[in-house]
Amino acid sequence: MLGQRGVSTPSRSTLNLIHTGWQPPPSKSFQVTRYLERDSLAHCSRVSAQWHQLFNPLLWHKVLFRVPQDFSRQGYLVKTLDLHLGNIPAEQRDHIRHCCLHLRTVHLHFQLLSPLVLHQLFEPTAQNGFVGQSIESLEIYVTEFSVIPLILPWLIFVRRAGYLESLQRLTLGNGQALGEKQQVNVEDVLEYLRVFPTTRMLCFRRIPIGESCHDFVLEKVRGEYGNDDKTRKEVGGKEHNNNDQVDEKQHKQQPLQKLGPTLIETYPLKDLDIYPRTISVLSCLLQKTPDLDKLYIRKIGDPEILPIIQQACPKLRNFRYVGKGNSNSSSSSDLGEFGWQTFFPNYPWMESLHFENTLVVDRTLHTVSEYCSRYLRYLTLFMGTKVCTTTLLQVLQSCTALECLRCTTHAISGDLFHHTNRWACLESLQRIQQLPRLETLSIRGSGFMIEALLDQDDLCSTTTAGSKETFMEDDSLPCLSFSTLLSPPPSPSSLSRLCYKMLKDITMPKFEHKVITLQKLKALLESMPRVEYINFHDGYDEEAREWLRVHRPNLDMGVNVW
Amino acid sequence: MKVTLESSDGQVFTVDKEVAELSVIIKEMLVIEQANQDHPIPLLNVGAVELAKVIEYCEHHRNDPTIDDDEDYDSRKKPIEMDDWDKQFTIVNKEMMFELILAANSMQVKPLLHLGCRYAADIVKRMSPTEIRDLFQIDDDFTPEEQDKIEWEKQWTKL
Repeated sequence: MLGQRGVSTPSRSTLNLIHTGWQPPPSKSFQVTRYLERDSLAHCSRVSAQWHQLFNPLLWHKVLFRVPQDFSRQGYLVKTLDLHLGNIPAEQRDHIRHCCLHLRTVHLHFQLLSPLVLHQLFEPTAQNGFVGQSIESLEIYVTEFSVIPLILPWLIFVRRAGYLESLQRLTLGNGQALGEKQQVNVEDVLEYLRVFPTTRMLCFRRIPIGESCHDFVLEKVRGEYGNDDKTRKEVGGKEHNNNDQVDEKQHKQQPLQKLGPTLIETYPLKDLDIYPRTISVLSCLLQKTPDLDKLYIRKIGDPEILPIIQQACPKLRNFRYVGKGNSNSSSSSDLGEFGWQTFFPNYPWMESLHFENTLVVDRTLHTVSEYCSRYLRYLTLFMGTKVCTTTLLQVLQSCTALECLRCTTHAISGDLFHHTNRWACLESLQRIQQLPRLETLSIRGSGFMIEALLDQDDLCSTTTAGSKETFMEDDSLPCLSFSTLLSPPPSPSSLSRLCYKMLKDITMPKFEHKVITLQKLKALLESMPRVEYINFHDGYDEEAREWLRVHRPNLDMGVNVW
Repeated sequence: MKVTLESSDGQVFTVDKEVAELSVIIKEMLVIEQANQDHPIPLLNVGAVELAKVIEYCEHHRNDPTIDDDEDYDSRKKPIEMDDWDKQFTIVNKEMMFELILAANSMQVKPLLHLGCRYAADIVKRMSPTEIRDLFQIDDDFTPEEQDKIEWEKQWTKL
């Protein structure tokens, strides 16, 4: 028999908390919290004493940026810790690491970190939550560089002492421009992989990874790059000396041995973000990580990286390449052309591509749309793009799974949405509308017309450009109820169509005039039921702006438009 | 095979067995009372209006895969997507929805319970503590000391 309403309702009830007579239900059935953000949880915890009991522990799961005074009672609940630890007094730091013994994700930020403090914070003892067995992900950011090369050796030492056993993801970062000699040694990286063999993610951001004995002569002789034998050091089986004095940077150099591919120890690393100083650094790391799924390569401007990646990482699905940019030297682009045409055919399952600070030409994108069209979901072209309209259209046409296209460029050759190129404009829109999953669209160029986004039926009664709008209104939209002036008989096709069904973010170039009238704005918003972010800079006219302020105060406009 | 259900106010509903079995409670009862299926199954705390709505839900979702309810509440799994039908289904007034959630809970119709939780969360979202108190008619029963503690908490829990 089922229980009587209101009488000792079962503790599994989710909504019992809402009606009277409830008890905190066991957590596993308490599903409301799944859908609540942190600020809502915080509000709920301030409703009543009982609600506090229920919600307060959930708040302790994450400690982000702001530090509670006293961790002694709830510290064991903290799973995620993200703190500017450098600003916290030493006693409080110790209090935190002694109380939070079940941490999973730890992000620590410092302006300056001395080796001594590093050793103290990650002291291998059972009372130290920062080296706990539940830690899966560790991120350490230090603005000042000098301590960074010591972090890997210290973590290796800690792991050998029997701690940090679950660590799988490591991120190191710094905030300084670095000199030639400032780097993390690739030998330490390899040693780290050997000691933490289950590592899934390694992320060094802009920290250069180099060889311990940096040979500047070699670097200048570019011809030597591809020749691994001359520069790669034999690292297998090297005995690493891990005592407290980790400032020893001198690594024994051993004569090279040629290793057959079968002899190379490999690791199941999935995700690598690296700025390799030389080709050989990259090569000797990638050879040990054949399972890489995500690879993020920075700053190395040598086209030779492509054959190496291609050979070593057959499973890549996410690839980001950030080139050197032109600031460095004018000759950086003279290194030779990147052989994307032979690279992408190896990766038909590529899902995500990001190019930055590197020259992307039509040919590159043709290859992408030819070989990676099936699964490509994200495509970003950021700085250095030189592609023409037709090429972008081809990408839009062939990559049907595309969810996100960002093309931030000052050098778009051809006008994707230019009014003088009306055909291209309409054509491109039809393509966009045919991408059912597109969630993000961001294009910057010049001469954009708002009509480019709207179907002709929405704004123009005929195909003649720039004619006065006849605007469709959907009465079901509450926001439209006050303007009853214009309501021409809606054509059924136009009402049923939501052009940008999934679109959440949209960014468009600056307009020369305030071209977005209230009618156009409404038609736009109507076609994008899910939009959360819409950035047209200050292209709205007065009426549209005022309407936005009153009716859609929560819409993120990117800039302050009023 | 058909099963009959009786609401708290005495209305009888006849549904397919597989539809009724979306309710864990009914499923269990059917196992126990296999022999005795002449009588309608009484649902003492579900009114006819709510029961009709629950059945409507179960009819629509009769072929859905069962969801695993035993995961940790902080699991990183994405919340279940609502389809258009579900969205239409939840366009009812708050009182009705809360009644439905209670019904789903007492009958243990888990997907509906999830849907309800999501609905409740959407309502509570962005409400201030005072508004939540008003909505659910809860008294602010913090002692002055607790109030102080909460002021402290405010400081570090906001983002």
